[in-house]
Amino acid sequence: MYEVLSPVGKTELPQPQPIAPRLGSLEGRVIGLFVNSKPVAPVLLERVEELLRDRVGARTERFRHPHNRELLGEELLAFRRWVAEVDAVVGAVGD
Amino acid sequence: MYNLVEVEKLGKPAVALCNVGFAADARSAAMVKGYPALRVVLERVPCEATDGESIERGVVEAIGEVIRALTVPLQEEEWEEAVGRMAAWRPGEARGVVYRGNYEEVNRYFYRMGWTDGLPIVPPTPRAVEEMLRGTDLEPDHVVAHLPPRMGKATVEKIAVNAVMAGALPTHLPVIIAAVEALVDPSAWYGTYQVSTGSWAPFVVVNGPVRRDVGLNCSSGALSPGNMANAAIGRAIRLVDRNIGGVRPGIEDMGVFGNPGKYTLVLGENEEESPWEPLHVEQGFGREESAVSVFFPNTYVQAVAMGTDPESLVLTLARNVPAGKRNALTAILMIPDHARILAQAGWSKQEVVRRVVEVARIPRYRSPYMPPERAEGLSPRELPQREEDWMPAWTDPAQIRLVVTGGPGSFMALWISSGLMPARWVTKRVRLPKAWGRLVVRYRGIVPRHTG
Repeated sequence: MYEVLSPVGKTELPQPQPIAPRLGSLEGRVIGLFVNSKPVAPVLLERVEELLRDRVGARTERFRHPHNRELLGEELLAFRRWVAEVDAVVGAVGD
Repeated sequence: MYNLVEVEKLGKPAVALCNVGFAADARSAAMVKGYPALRVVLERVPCEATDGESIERGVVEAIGEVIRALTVPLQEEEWEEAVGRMAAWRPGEARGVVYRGNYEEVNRYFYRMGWTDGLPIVPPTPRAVEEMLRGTDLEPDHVVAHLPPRMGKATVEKIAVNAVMAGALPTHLPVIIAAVEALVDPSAWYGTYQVSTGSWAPFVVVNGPVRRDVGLNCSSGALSPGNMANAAIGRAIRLVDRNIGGVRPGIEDMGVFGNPGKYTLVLGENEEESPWEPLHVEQGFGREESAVSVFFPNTYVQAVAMGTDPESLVLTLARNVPAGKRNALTAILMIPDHARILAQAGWSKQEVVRRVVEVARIPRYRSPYMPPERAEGLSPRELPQREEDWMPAWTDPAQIRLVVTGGPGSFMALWISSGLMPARWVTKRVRLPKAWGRLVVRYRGIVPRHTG
């Protein structure tokens, strides 16, 4: 008979936060398109851009991510300035 | 996902338009950052699609949900479901005994919990863990690192539990701890490589006196099964990654094919038979220190030397770089016989690497991952005919380290990572306990005789 210890390390995750208030309507809003470095992202988000414009009358602004990692330092500051200029953000995730 | 969480933190609505295969991965990343309800809209565009038709179809199918995700307020049941999912996923720190059973029952319990690598483990009893802790003078509750993606607390004790499970000896523990320190060095880009679709595995080179103290294989078949130190140290690193970092296959670890190197990929440099300074000395450590060096390759190439003269050895390495690898962090594995030939020609390790870099060329094929030439690339339908249709495989010799290892024969080898990350080789010193000599004597006799 063995008595065994857990191999799992304690996880110190933040408390869950709710998402930001939604926009109600997208008409006339500026939607930020966050383009990561994956090859399909610009093409995919270009089509999103067209559909948002045609279906709900939204404008779009793009932020080109230089790589596919978490933004840090100056890149993060530039990203935050860009987010301040838009009403919401759509980003492509996964390959 | 982390960047979209940043949008939410700034008080703006964010939506992840996510490939359906990455749904669990995306939700896990959002939970790590405390935003379990971040909206994820799934699309079915094939990964890295290059045809307009499938992109068009996938986006048109998803656009309604994108609009809804940006406009409809968070629903009460949606929030409760997200918080519940996070609570169910978040592991508490289980202290003390978590399970009692016979060998088979313990193994089935650990396997069902997802805590193993698929093979039976050594039950981590308090007594076995206490013995393992003789391998370090660090306190059991000393925090070596917080490991992504779950930012799990890697205390010395938790590392020791995983080391016991892996079948490691107490003498292996200081090497395992140094490897964990190397993983979390920002220059290693562990947090990206451990979860990437590229199936990268931590490649660990051990240098210094500790290699011989723990019986690491540094020569024939150094990467093959059969030697406890090589097998158990790498296995322990993988279990730490799984159980403390929280990397689950197909959820956080999105490696497309996976990588057998994730079981273990550990060798020692054959310093005694090398004509050159060892890797850890190149990395700034003293020859009498012991150290662990780490990087994350996903590709292994072996080739018979085209000849045993210095030029042929360099050309063998240069001509066997895969066409899809560009500016990738790389380990050249070289047998002592080849190293001596090159050293007798008057070449240092660095000179050999410089000459490989000078000669190695890959086709300038069109590829999204070959900046800055991506726009002008050749179609891979044609073999390049002109000199200008080839480009250097590496532009910086610092991306390559040469390790003398392996046994008799004529093979040369390359372990190759990626040029996409600004990663570097990371080396950390192995800190031995004061009673190291006694510990080594106690465990040194455990070696395979291979008489059967």
